Amino acid sequence: MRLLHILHNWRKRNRARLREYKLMFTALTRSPTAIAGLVLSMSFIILGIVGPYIAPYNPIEIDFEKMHELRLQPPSWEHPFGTDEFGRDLFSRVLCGARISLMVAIVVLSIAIPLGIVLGLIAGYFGGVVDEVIMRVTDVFLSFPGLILAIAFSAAFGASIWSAMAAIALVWWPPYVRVVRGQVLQIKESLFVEAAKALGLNPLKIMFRHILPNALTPVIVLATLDFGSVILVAAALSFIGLGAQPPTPEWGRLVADGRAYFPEKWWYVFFPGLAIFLTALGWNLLGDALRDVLDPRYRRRLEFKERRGR
Amino acid sequence: MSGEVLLRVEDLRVYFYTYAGVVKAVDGIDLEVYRGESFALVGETGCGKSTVARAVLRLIPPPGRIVSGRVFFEGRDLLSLPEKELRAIRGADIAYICQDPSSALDPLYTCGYQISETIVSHQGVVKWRDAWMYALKLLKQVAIPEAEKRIKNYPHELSGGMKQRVVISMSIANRPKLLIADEPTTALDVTIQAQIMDLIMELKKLYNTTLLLITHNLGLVAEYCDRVAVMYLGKIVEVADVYTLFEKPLHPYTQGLLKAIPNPLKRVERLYSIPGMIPSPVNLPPGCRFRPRCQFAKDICAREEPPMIEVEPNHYVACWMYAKR
Repeated sequence: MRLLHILHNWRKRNRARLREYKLMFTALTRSPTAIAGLVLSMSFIILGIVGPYIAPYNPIEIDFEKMHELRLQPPSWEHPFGTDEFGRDLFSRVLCGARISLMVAIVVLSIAIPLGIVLGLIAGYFGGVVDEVIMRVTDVFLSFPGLILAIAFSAAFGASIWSAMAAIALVWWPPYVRVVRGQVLQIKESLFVEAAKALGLNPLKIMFRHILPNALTPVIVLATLDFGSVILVAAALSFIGLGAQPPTPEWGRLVADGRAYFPEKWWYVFFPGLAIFLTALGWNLLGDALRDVLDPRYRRRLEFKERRGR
Repeated sequence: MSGEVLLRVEDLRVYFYTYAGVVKAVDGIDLEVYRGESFALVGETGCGKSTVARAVLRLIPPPGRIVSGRVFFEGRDLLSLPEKELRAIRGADIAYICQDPSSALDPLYTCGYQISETIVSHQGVVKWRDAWMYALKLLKQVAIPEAEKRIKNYPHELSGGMKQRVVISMSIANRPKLLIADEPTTALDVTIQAQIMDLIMELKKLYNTTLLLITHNLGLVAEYCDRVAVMYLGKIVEVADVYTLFEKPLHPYTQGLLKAIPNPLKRVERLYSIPGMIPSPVNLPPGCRFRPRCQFAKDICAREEPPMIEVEPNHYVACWMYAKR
């Protein structure tokens, strides 16, 4: 009873916030593409976490005794995605690849985004020479195509999945600097920032408590879209031999290995490629949907429609 | 009127370096605000009155710059103070209420959080919980109904008048000695205006604060202020106490302003307006700034800027009509 009472009070207090969450949920579940994006990206995350535990076969070890009879088998009930040239189950390998891709995306973004945000905040807030220096360095990075630069860095660091991650992280922050700086320039002019200054808050507090949270929406959208792109670039690096090394079951690596047997043994290339495709697609759809979900004006429109419908 | 000087502005000049040229928003003004009084800075839009308020707190955004001048607050020059010491004064000793309450609050935080934040940031030892309780007390003090509920509301859930009350409660949270109100009622309904002004005056009395009111509304000035300074194009043209200014305005600009107030008791065909346009602040006319629009203009007005002279005790005016030459 008491617990119910507390819950009731909590709901009453946070009514406005709950209403916003509910509208966000409605916005998200309204469009079929958003649901598709949500399902794809969430199943990717779940598979990334549990993949290695539910894989029916060992994805790395080679059974030398049966290697020749299992070699490059087409999809069957036993091996839904077929087998590779060493007789390993491709389904297990693709499943385990999800974890590697998930890890790459998380590591890269958790380096690139904070870096981009901090640099963008500093550049936008302080302006002047600081801004000029940060933005010109950013421009230099942006003037190369990200993939080319990542290839260069990755080649310089030596071919491994870790160097690929470092290389991608190194080229991934500039867009965030731009986005955050643009937002900061706009928010900096708003009256509440001036009010905060007039109230004597220190610049760090103003930057991180008042400007940053107001600037975060496009960053969230960009991060979601980038989740797919990072996986794509990591796969590309592995495909040209700079990322994950055998026997790591990285998706790009699998496609690269399967290339030699294409098109007769189509499943070798097809299934890892499909995994890459669906993941990238899922995050892109989700990112597009989030853009709407996080836009308060869109929520207000929804609210209006909802009321009229009633 | 005399008393202890709380705020003294000396020869303040604030220029904005824009692509069109140097805009002299504030061009050499002197002011004295006495402790405990209500002082009004009046002038039309763009005359630099808000810039004065911001310059006092050194909040001029680039490309603006305080070119010269000194601002003494309790004997300390705010313009040469290190940033850190100035921050301790902002929001604590000098509070600032800005024009538009709807954008003066961060949309992402509750009112209670924002009030508590100003308390905590100035009185470091205060616990959040105590600050929150004090915020609640403040909200009650500014007459917000159901303060317990409102304290947890986000700014978008409040009306304009309510938001201004929250902003006011933030500004008085640290019992400031000087309250700068920059057109606090411009964004509000006329009915709310009186309420907000009454509230400000009540709090002023309660906390023994000095008020620097910046406005273009002469009605508010007449109602609430003790002394007035009239600004025109970055210069102060006349300073007097309210009664003198309204009864015996000396400067032609002040006279024009007062004539332009509609009188509900008189039926007029057409409301008076000061002839001419405000000249561009980029290319100021030489001599007196008001000369192009002044019906009493003499030769000397075009040549030299009029000095500020004390025509009668505590009534200052900058006009060649009163200067001995």
